[in-house]
Amino acid sequence: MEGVIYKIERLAVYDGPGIRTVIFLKGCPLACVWCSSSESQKLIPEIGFWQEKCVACGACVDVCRSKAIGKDKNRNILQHFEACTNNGDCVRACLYQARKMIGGKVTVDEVVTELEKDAVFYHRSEGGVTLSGGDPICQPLFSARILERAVQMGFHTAVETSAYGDWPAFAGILDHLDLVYVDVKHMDMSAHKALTGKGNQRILDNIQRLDKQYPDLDLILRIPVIPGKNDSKDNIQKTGQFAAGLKTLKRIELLPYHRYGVSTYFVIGRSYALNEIDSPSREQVERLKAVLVSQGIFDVRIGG
Amino acid sequence: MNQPAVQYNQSDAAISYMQRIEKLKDRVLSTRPAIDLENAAILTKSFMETQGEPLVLRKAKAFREQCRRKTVTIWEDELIVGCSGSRTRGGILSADVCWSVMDNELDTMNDRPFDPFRVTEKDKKLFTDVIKPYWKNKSVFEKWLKRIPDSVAGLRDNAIIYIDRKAVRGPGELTPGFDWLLEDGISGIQKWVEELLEQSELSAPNGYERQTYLRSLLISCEGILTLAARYAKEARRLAALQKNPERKAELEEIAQVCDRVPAHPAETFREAVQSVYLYHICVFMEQNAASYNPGRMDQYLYPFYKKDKAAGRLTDDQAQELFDCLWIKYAEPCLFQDGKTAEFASGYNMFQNACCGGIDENGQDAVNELSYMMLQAMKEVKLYQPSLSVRYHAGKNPVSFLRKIAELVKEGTGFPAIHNDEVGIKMLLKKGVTLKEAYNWNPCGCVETNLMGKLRGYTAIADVNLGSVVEFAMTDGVFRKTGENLGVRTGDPRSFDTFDDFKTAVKKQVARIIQVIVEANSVLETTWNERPVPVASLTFKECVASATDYAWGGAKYSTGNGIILDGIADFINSLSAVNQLIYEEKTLTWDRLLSALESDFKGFDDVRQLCLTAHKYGNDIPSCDDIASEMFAFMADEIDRYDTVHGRMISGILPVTAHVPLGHVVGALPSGRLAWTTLTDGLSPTGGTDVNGPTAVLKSVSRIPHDMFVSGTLLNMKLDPSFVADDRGLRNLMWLIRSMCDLGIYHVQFNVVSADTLRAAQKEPEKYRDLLIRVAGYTAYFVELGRDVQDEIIGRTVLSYKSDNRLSGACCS
Repeated sequence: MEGVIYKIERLAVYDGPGIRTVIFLKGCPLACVWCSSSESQKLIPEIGFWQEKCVACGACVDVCRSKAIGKDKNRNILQHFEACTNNGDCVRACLYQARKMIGGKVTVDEVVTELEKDAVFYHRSEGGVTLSGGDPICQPLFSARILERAVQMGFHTAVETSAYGDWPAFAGILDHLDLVYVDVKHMDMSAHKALTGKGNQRILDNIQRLDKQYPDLDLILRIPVIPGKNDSKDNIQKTGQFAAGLKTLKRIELLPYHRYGVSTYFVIGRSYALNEIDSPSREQVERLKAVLVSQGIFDVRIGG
Repeated sequence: MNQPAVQYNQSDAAISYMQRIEKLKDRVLSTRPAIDLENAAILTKSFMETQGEPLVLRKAKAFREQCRRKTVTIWEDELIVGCSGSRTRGGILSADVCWSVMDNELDTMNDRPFDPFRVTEKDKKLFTDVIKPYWKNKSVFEKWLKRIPDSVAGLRDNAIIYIDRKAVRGPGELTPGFDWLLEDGISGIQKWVEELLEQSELSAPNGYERQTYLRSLLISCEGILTLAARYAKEARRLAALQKNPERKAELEEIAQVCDRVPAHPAETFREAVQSVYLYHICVFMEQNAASYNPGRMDQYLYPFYKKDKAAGRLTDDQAQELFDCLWIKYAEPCLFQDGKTAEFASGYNMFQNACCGGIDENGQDAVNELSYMMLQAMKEVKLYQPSLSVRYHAGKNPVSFLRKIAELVKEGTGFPAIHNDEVGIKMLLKKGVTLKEAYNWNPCGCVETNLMGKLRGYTAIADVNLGSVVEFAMTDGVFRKTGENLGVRTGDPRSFDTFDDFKTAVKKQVARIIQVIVEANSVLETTWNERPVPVASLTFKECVASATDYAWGGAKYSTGNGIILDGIADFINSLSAVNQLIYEEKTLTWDRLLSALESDFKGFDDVRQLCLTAHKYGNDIPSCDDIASEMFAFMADEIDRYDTVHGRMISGILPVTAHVPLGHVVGALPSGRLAWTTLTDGLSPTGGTDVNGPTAVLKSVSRIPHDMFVSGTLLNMKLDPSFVADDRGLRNLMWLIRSMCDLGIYHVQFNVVSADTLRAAQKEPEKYRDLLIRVAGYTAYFVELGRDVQDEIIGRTVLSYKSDNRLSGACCS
């Protein structure tokens, strides 16, 4: 069985207990305007072009069969992303690592081999594997198979997800999990839709359902704090109310907005919508934390 | 020693003695290293008077003269006293071993790039008028120069091997029998030697040699006792002058302690500490060398601590203060060597390796209160010496010990050097030591393996430049730098049909270099017989019993000498690139690669890019790391093959800073490395090429069979401070260390500093005087290192958690 992933990170320590390997899967059901991993959104492998590494040798122009690469009047390479078929010819032609395929097909066995590499570290630290993305929920069977194998080997398992998906597919993932991180981006349906492209009803339903049906699973809710978008006291209060009713909730993590992912937009030929926003101040995030704590949520952390 | 370990933990505010420690420390830090010729002058004068007597007797008499005449100073606030020379941070010269190190550099030493030494006009005159005229044509080093075999000369002159290190000074690398010293005292040993002399017959075969040797031991004892008595006298003199009653009492106590030790068996913890240090400086006076190791102090000092505690005459604060004082004393001497050797091991480092932790003679947890105090002393004193090591036994040592180790790593001093106990024990077994004795092993110098009072073996007689090895395999033995034929004729690589053919050529090249070193070793052994060390031999029981000097192989165990391999990552990456690009992917031909290397990649950008993007060691890539396993097992075996008068040759991967100068003679390599640039240090991946994080580095490093390299292997990992910023970080570090033990890696040492800090220190060295950095197997003051080495350290990959991932969730923010 195959799936599409775009990154593997070893010695990850902020995505669950102990020392972990994080597998980043391609594909996401949402398209948040602040997304810091734009390259993860599409389910297919795609070409990335790093202009600053390009020496304009022209090797890519010669091999491209879809006329997606040209030169401007200064002889700089121009990438026409809309015409690109992502066949990877130009990546193989480039000697300067200015072109890379973001994402690739791998089998479950290949992923498991990768996980086993750090088994000695997981066992010592009670760590394991975290599936992230993108959102593993976009590749539910692939995700479930990896997690099942990880459980068989005694690794701790976690998933970071939007929870936006069909329940049976989602449950297939939850069956093999020790810990699930779910994002709650906005409590207001229309605001959620405007910011992420989808409504929030299915997400909230899924969270409540997993809370009932998986009492042994640890649940961590994460709130990205996007200044002016979802950081009003009212929204955080409502999130707190919702969270307070969950029996399996372990804690809430507030993730302050950052701009580390902006440059990747240009690498894949997209534009970034939130250019006017800065990261929230420490004080602002602390205020939101206080709001949640006052609602009886005792473990609230800033950062993952 | 099997009781549960008590964690020694005190709040810093409660420490009353830190004022003294700060003052003592400041004295060391504010003193510039200077040449100290007093001992050399005394030695020379003594040798003039003993002309014609046996060498070992002359050595002992010269030592006794030094003890009688040298300057004896007790500095303000000191509790532990003693100095091998006449000044603090002095570099002493062993004129009999090699006087010429000074001769060539008399005028440049003050400003040389590596380890400069201040030298006064008076000392210059002393050298030119007294020392040099006497020793000319007599030193051990000159004998070596005259005897160098032809086979060695070409390789040595071109830095394909570096072999002078142990010829320009004493070999060092020993751990005196401190346990025996404390138990019997010098007078006890003296009594035994007298009995042996009494029993010996001049008429017996070798009767004269035996008696002469025993006499030289007795003279050495006399010297030590004289020196201790002079310190007692000086303490009394100062006490009489002292107005402050507290200091007066301290000085009187120093006098009483020096009255008793090292002459007699130590009774108290304080006496034990003083006894160890005074004997230590005597060993150093006898022969300037690095790696005289204090060894397992938490073990041999423990009975005294326990007795004092039970009797209520020692508090933990007092014991800690004594450790701190002792630590500062170890930071006083500076290794004096020539500028060239300093380039290979810069930082004035004396490599005095003190060790704690591990298991005891019953194979059980040996961690005790003193183990924690030794770590705490480093935390409080933060000086570059002693080299603090832990033997960490993942199965037996308590978690609280591991936690204390992690806390010290966080301090960013580069200490402690963490040794995997089980691998260390195996290395000793492979050296021929019994298992029960191997339980008591101790690290030596930077990461070598040693055994207190029992083992002889010089672990670093020569460095093999593995960069040159790869070069020779590609050039049919031609040295690119000069065009000379210095390697073996292994054929034109264009004719190699398979990667195995190339590997065979590489193996032939390395085997030949090893053989040449062993040839040199035979010659060196004969010259080294001419530098006996009766003072050090005194605490090696078998040396005394057999009246055979340590240098002559008198110790209970001996091994052949050690060969060090340098340029590990460059070597693996080059072989791997050839395999991948030429034989597997066929994206390059030998023709094209050789042309590119010949021209240092100029005009071959595309080839260099292919080389740079080929698989690299340090990323846990099996196809690359498999080559490492095979080639290094081969090299260790190849070295093991040779027998010498002292046993089988041994091997290690501990380059100190040799990778910097050795790189200057190696042309461009298939790894993508440019010609004449520095090689990669120790076992580390080449800076910037390890992109899969620290666990992948450890996995790749574990693919080298560490236990086969019985001299030790060395791994530096630089950690960003954020790695260990909080409790979670410390836990991660503890797990990393435990996992490293599971993987069978022998040693790791962490630098917790940022590259920015290092750059700032280059700009304003005066503000970073106390910035300690792990260089390679040892720690030195960063600002005192040569610019080359500084740049190289900055360039090593900073391993850290990627900070942006701390904030990123799954698909959001």
